[in-house]
Amino acid sequence: MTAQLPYDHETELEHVLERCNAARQAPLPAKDALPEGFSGLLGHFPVYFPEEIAHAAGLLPVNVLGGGNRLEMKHADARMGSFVCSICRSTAELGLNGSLAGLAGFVTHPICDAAKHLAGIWSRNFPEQLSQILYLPQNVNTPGAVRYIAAEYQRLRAELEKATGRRVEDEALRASIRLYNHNRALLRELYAVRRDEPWKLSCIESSLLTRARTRMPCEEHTALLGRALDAVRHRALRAQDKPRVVFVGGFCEQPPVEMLETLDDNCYVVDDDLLIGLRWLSADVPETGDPIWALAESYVERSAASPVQHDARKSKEGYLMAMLREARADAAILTAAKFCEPGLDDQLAWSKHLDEAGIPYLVLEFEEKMTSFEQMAMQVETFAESLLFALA
Amino acid sequence: MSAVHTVGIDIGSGAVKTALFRSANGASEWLGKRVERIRRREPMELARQGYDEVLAEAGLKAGDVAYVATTGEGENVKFATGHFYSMTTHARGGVFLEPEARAVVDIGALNGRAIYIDERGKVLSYKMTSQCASGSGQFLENIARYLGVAVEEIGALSQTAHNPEKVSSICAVLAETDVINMVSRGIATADILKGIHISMASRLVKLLKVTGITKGKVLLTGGLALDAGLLAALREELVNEKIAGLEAVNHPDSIYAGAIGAALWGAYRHDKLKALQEKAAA
Repeated sequence: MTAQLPYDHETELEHVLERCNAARQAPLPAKDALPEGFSGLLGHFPVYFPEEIAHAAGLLPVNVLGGGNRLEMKHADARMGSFVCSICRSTAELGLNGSLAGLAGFVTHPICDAAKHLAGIWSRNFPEQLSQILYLPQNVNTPGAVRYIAAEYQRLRAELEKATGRRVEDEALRASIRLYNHNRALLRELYAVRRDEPWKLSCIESSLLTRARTRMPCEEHTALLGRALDAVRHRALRAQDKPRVVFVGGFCEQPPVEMLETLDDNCYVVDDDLLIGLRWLSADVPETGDPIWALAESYVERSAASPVQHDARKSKEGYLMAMLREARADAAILTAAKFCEPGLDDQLAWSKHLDEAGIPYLVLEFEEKMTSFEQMAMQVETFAESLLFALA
Repeated sequence: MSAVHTVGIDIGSGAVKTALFRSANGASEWLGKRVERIRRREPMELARQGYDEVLAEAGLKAGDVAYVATTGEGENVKFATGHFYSMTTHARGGVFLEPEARAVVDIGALNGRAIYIDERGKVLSYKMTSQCASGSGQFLENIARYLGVAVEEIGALSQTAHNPEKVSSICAVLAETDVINMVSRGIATADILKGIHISMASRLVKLLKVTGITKGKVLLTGGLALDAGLLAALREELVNEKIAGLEAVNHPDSIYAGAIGAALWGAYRHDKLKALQEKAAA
């Protein structure tokens, strides 16, 4: 009889995180190295994109999240003003330096002027790629919102069919919806662990696990999430005396990992809006009936909130307060990417409201390309400690 | 209220310091201490080692400790209960060691800072050295090595100087170049060391002035606190700068200030958390 080695959950989690981190840093796969079942890659800009439509068309959805803090800017600065946020400039740079040459197309959204105009840069500089703006509605509270979104999704579906020469059948879309529903359910479980047992899963680990979906098939990501969740739940870590905070402002441009490490060192980040687009649909999309309508209706009726959407049912102050309440947080850390208009707009509203509500908060500014974190670490450390003493 | 045991662990860039306390009814008793120079070893392992040793010495088990508090670079100590900012721990530890202290000058291996405090150890203001390491213990250690002087001889030797040669107080690289030039010019080792002490003291006095403190005792803490040459230079600089109300002092256990403060704040947090739990249960 062979002695079985004990299953080491920490090692298992380490392997999953390594895979996720490698996916984050890897270049796009070449045409002959695409995952099975995919004929190409479809790039899309944050915040939300209906990945199911690309998936059903046989295109691997790749969420283009800028160039991080190791990308040398050589071309984009000549085409975009220095007052444009880092993620837009570095996305243009990635296109211009050839890093995104493997994309069959690139879809952006009118979440802000800079993001919207990326489509123009794309169509002018990369005519061989499909370049599209997916016009998600500015106002989701009108009776025609679902019909309007459904029409936009149908238009996208037709564009992808034309680009791939492959029909996107309803059944294929429903199959993709099922896969993504499962994936989003696991992401919700991941965030439940953050909320209920934050010492078992740090913000940076959660961010790495979530972000991996931007660079791999949903199927593979779902399998990784399942393994990670099992390992996390078995983690033998003890709770520490740290304040519980909600972190908002990372909905589009992603804060550098060093910034998230700083937060983890000093606080339990019990909820955040990092990559909120990947978790945008907050409940299962109906798996029967018209799949396009189901996706459009879910966007309006079963969705999260972010500074790039205006929904009278979800005020800026209201959804932040709900996050704080549901995560039983002591305080908020409000951040915004440098030059991010929607982010800075909400930061102001949030600060004013938290002042009135008497909830402690810290305001931080970040940029994906920042490399020095000492000052920020000191601010976060001081804030966390002031909470420990103020809340005592 | 029953007595609780708390441990403070201060992971600095040069050494790991550990302090064990028993607290009850607002009084705290210092039961044990350890200091271990890092010397290219793993600080987290040294933290565990120091922790195990102080407990063993006091006949305690890990389960007897109510709160393990880290400070300095100790955020990632896995067995810690909580972590405190080193500014707060040095301030609290400083008042424990010298109740009359109204400022703490913490000078460690990589930086120095002046912390203006009240009688409870509350930080009123502070000023740190910038990124340059010319006012740090590591810099002084490097110079001592170039001069062939043992670290523990620096203080006494510096006090025998007759004609101290000042070095750059702005930049460690320039200061090192200054020292090399002085050696080649035949300047006595004691004069070089005293010059460095004056340069460091001058920086520290500038930091103190920025905090706004005008009178009271200034306790030196950190790895260089027991350097008698630095203390003497600091006293001289206070006179030169005409800050008569400040008196620079040190304490034999100054190096433990951060660990002491962490252990004491740990006891405070433990009591508060317990009160919060009792309130929630009620």
